[in-house]
Amino acid sequence: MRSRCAAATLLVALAVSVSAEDVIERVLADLGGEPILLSEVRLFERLKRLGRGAALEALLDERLMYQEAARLPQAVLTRDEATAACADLAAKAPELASDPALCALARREAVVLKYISFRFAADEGEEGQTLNERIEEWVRDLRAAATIRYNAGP
Amino acid sequence: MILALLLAALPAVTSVRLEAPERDVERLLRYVGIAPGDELRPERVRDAVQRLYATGEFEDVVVSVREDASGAQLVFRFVPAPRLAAVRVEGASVISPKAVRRAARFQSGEPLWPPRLDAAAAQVALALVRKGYLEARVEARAERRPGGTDAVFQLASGPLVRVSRASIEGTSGGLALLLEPLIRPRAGKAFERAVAQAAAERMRARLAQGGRWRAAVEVREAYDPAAGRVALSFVVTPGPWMRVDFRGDAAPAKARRAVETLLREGGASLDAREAGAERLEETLVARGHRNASATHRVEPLPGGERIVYDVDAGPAWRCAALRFAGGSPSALVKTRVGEPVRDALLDDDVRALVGALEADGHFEARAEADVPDTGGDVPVTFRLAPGPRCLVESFSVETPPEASETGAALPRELRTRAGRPYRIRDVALDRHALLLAWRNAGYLSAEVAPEVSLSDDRGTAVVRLRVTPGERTRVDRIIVRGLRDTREEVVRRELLVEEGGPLGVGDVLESQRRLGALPILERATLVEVESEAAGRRSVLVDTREAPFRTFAYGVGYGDREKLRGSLEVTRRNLFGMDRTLTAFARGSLTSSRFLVSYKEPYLLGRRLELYVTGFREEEDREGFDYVKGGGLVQTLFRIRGGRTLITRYAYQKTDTFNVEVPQDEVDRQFQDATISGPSFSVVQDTRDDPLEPRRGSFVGADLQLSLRALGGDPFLKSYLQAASYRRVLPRTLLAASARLGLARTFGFEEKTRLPLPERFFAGGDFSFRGFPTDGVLEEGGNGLLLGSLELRFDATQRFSLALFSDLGNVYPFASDIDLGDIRASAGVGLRYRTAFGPVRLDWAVKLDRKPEEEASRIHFTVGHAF
Repeated sequence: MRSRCAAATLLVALAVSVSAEDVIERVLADLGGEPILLSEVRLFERLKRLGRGAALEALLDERLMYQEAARLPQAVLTRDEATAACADLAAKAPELASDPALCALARREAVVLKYISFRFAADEGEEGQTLNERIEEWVRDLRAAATIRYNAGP
Repeated sequence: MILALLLAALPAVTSVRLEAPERDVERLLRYVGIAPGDELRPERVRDAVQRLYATGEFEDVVVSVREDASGAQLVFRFVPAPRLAAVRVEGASVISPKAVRRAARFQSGEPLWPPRLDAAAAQVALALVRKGYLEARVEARAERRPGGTDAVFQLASGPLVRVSRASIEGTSGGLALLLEPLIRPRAGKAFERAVAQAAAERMRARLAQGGRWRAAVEVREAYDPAAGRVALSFVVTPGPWMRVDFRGDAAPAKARRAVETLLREGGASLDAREAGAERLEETLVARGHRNASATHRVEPLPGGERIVYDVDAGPAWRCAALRFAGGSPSALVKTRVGEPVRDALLDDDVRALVGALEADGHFEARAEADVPDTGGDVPVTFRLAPGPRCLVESFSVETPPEASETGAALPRELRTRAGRPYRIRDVALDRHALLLAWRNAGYLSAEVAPEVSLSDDRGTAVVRLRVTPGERTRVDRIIVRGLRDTREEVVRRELLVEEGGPLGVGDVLESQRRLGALPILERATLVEVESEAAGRRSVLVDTREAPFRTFAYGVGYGDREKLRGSLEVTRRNLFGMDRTLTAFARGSLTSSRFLVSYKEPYLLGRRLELYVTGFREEEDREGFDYVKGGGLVQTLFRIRGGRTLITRYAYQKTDTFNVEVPQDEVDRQFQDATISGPSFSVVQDTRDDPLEPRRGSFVGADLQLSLRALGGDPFLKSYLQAASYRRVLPRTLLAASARLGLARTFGFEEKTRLPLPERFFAGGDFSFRGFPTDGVLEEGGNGLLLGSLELRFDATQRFSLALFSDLGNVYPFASDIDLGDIRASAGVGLRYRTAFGPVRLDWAVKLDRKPEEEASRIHFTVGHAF
């Protein structure tokens, strides 16, 4: 009797595990018409070791900075710079290296870095402000001008 | 975790299920792009979600996977976007939902995202404030329901604010009395800010008209919330009386009036005064005063100010003779002997001369205009330095071998060729044409570098265009967005780009143009979207549908019909397939006309237009009544190069009755006749403008058969017409036209003419201008021969003169055509160019007048004769 119960329990557990569905992709937010996807946020979570909410916010900041940076011709990557950016990030997170999103993220980050070094090197900013403070101020301005919509749901 | 699993294992997809309405599944699957048997790669899922999201139909796309031993089952679930279905108003009923929709500028079906709702609420609040509800508060929310989402506006309008008093301040006496009647809104009326501001502007204009050019009127409001009243003050700053004087050399009266208008309308500001000076100088320069100058200053006057323009026209230059040193291409220059010398025109002339030399291979040509400084009647000398004449020794386009097979086809005709003069402009144009060809083949970063090697004596040039194609970009997916009622295939069939094909820049632009020409779309734009697949981009076709129903109506009055009215109802996009149904009705006390037509733009899946039309009309006319009815089925096939093929079957029956006048007094289009049979037409139209052609040609051929077996009068009729337009001198155009008509009846024992309405006629405004309408052979005939030549000379930008001659005749039967029996007329004409064609006055004289005929004929109409 006990063994039958155990077998039944095992079968039910197996059935549940087999039939369980996992959400692998969805739209978590909309940034000016551009979707921010679950897989991108998950990648960010793993790379930056952040929780879901913090990763989403960080990704939104990253996208905002990239959108602004990509408008500047000086921030355009050469082919070599793009390749190097991908290789660097892949080396830091080899377990994610096969995902093309990692390379796309690396390129975006490289563009943002190039923009920052161009813009903030040319402009001294207010006295006493550190580079981080100035970047934070820049992101605050970008956020204020952006249209962000969060999707409710699981 | 799941991501890691996916990356590690990459299971195969065993099924793809879309939880969407049945009718949408097939369409959405196109965007998914994942099929059973594919590896479950995260980037493909990501691409699919991005494409589905880009359609604008969804708020969220949720992809789930269920794995078992056989693989992964993918499920796509959709959260629809909150698309506008209706507008509802809650709270104060001071504005209708329709007005709210208009104020919020809502488009049918647009998504109601929170920022859009906030903006809509603000716009509605503003509209209420404009209506006098100064304390209006509006909130908007979206409420989902089956079939769409309602935009719900919660209104708290507050009181309707009225004007407690409205007064003029800042001035008194006569001025106040002058402005008092313009006060709006009046005390007791609802306060509308826009009305008050319009009244202030009227006051300012009234003062300016009276000489106070610097007048200003400001509206001030004092709002008392407790009473719900606003006190209005129109604060007037009248400014000084002003006048303008012109001193020094005389300025033309028209320019003086223009300057005064500029000052009055511009508030006599510094900008307005500067503009006035420029206007004076321009006018004088156009009259040959090359050094003309006008300065301005302000002088005080008792009670006002005076703006003084000091005009120094300087000497006037007039061209006494034209000379050319180093060549004599006098036809190219626009400077004329006896006319004022203008520097801008001289610059144009120099450019034209250099251009002509360059076109002949003198690629280093220089030219300058030499005008003596003395003023007065002077010779104008153009000094030309042509430099060496260079011919193209060889010309080649070099493409990397690996790209030449898959690359772009060479443009059909490159201008540069061996043996021709070497022209820098041609090389630049060829480079551009090649660049376009490669970019249109998907090589978006293609570059074309010209390389030119000149011989030592600069007499020959070796020209190479070296192509660096770069990477080819292909179309990943085409995403169509914004359609509600229209089927996607209607949009897709207009696209020249296709999934998997090259992403051509020209194809994208042409696709956008074709979509823009669809009457069912109010807007269509094509946007490239990055794709994660290397070398590929998706194309997002963003559309907005136009209203599908249109109504047009009219009311008129005429001597014969008295009161008449018409109504036209058009329903576009029937069944979402861009089909159009139109119903038209016109009626009066003596006549009626009904017409129904249907248009199918893509018959049998091809670009073949089908028109089906049915009509019936009847009228009680003076001396007779008639009923006319019929139908038409027509297909129209457009071919490249401006050619159109038309096939049709037409049935038309005209019955005339109650005839109380001689039969020949019944207009020919109302004579009894029945046509029933097929006809075919070919048209090639390459004119640049059908109303005012300047180049190109028009060729048309018609063949019409009417058969007794189909209930018609039996005849065969053919009609050929051709017209050509070309510029023979810079301001002169030669237009030529020829028409040939041949027809015969059959089934009769003796030769018979066609039914009267179908015969050929000549004479009138658009035909043989030496004769009255249909006057060449009044009873018409089965044969027509007509040719016309016309020289059109542009006298000014609007007016042109014409010299023309018409030749030809109408013959009772085709076999009677005799070139020895040709009639002729010639004449002169004046045309005035308008947006709806030239207004034309022609005077034509018969060159072979017969004794009973009038000598000449005047025609006054709109449109060219051909």
